[in-house]
Amino acid sequence: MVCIRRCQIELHDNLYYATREIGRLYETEPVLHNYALCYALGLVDSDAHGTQVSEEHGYRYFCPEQVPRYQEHLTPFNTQELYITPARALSHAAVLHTWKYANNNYHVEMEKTQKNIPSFGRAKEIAPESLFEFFVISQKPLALPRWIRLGKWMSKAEVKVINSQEVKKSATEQDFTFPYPLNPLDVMFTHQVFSYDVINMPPVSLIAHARIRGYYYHFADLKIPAQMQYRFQAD
Amino acid sequence: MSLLHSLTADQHKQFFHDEIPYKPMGKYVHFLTVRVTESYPLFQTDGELNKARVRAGIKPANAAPISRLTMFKRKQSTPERLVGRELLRSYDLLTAKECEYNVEFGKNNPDCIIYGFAIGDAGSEKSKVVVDTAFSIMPFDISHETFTLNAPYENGTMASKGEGDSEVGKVTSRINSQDHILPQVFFPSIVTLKDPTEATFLYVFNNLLRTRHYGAQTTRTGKVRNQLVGVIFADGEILSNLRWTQAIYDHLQEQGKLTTVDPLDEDEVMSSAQLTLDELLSEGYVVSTNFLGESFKPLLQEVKALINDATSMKQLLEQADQEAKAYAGKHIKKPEAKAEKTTSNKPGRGK
Repeated sequence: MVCIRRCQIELHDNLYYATREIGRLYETEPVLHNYALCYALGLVDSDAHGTQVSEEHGYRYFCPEQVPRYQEHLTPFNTQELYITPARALSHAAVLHTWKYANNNYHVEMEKTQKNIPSFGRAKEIAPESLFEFFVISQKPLALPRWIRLGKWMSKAEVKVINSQEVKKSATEQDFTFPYPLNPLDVMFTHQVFSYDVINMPPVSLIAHARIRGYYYHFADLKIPAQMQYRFQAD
Repeated sequence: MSLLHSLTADQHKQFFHDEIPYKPMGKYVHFLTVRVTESYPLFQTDGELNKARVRAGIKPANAAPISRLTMFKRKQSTPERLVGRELLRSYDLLTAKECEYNVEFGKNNPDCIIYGFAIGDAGSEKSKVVVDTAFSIMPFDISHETFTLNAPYENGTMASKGEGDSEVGKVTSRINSQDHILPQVFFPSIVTLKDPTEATFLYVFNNLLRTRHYGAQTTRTGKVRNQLVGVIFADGEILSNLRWTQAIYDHLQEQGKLTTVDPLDEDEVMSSAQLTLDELLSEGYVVSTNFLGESFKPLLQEVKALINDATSMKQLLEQADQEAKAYAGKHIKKPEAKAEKTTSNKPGRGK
């Protein structure tokens, strides 16, 4: 038996992260990656959730290099049989904002730029009160924080558990369609994936409306793929 | 050695770390402020004032959306940072050369360690101060006014008397118009500091109390006062600015205090801010010690006394500086010589 929770996130501030960079426009797709959610929900390197990582990759205030450590950080989730799905927008609005660097001097003279890099740009952000939905699949009960922070601006958002259900894995492998976003890396090793729409975003593009074959959990009127795990390489 | 005496020894232990930790340890302090405009500030990015369309209140009766003025987080934290940096320089704890905001971070002073920095290859420090976008209580349309700006001649009129190369009697076309935020517009805002030591707590507190100008600086009109409602020590995040603002709106409306003609009364806003907080906090799931209302007064008085005195101010800054230096020495690795210095140009966190 596993417990599946349907959760909602309501934004209380503008949400920004760069899904796409088009010249000086940085665009935020109204989809939250499941890697990002794991960090935002405070599940990475947590004593309470049994997801500690080695000291060397520990989650610290100071990051000596800008290299993500998804594999090191997320593999412990598998031993805890804990999985977070990507979140889709139930309703959202987008806003455009211009950003630029602040300068501390009293007097600024415009100089020719030395480097070919922008000091201002426009960011397409998701507006407050937009609503997202995702699923938490876990073996053990776990307490989710009520307030989390998302994206580059660390925007405040509220997390609500809408309903939860204890479910069993289906007895047989079957063909079914999952309409919401999935991380392809996490399902393709256990399921056959026939067709899907791609949602382009780094580091792993997501898929939606996937037609797949494999075991599933019956949750409300949905069939959610069973045995999803954070996978980074075939083994 | 402790600087604050209005907190007990147990509270010191419970709220503060002895040194700045390198990992998030789950101690939070939330500064609850209502930012009150006292002149005509400008918060804009795209040539017009920043605003957001959100629900008016939490109550179903107030569910219809309104446009609110917004104060982006970086427009709140940047001036506060700069005030702190100015002080560090004036007490000789930082030279202009050592650390320049968004140009060259020193990485070992209280500002860099508390508010964070990001320098491409040379690493980044996550900010321990997190700020939310603040929303005005009242709608945009009654919180702003359009001003016409002109640039008169020396004689004070728009018609030339022959100044420079101009023709006598010619009327200048140097005219523009600009939306300004009115005085007495209220922005409830929570500033959160993670994992405080006593000195970093006071450092941030001081920045909040001292910062009097927000928004476009060149206009000289951005006077904003931070009216503190209280301080909450907790083991997690508390409510959002938006929720708080909407609750205040509901409460003021219930009391019949929302009129579209007069600005809100500050005393009513403050009492409403506090009343709604009590309610909203009871819905949360965090362990917290609240300093609100009467219990906040002695703490605020003590902090004010501390920062009004040159000796204790210096002591406080030195303490924060030592802690930052100790942290930097222990946890921030020196960049390798080969790494070329590049500045990241994507919009950074909380700038």
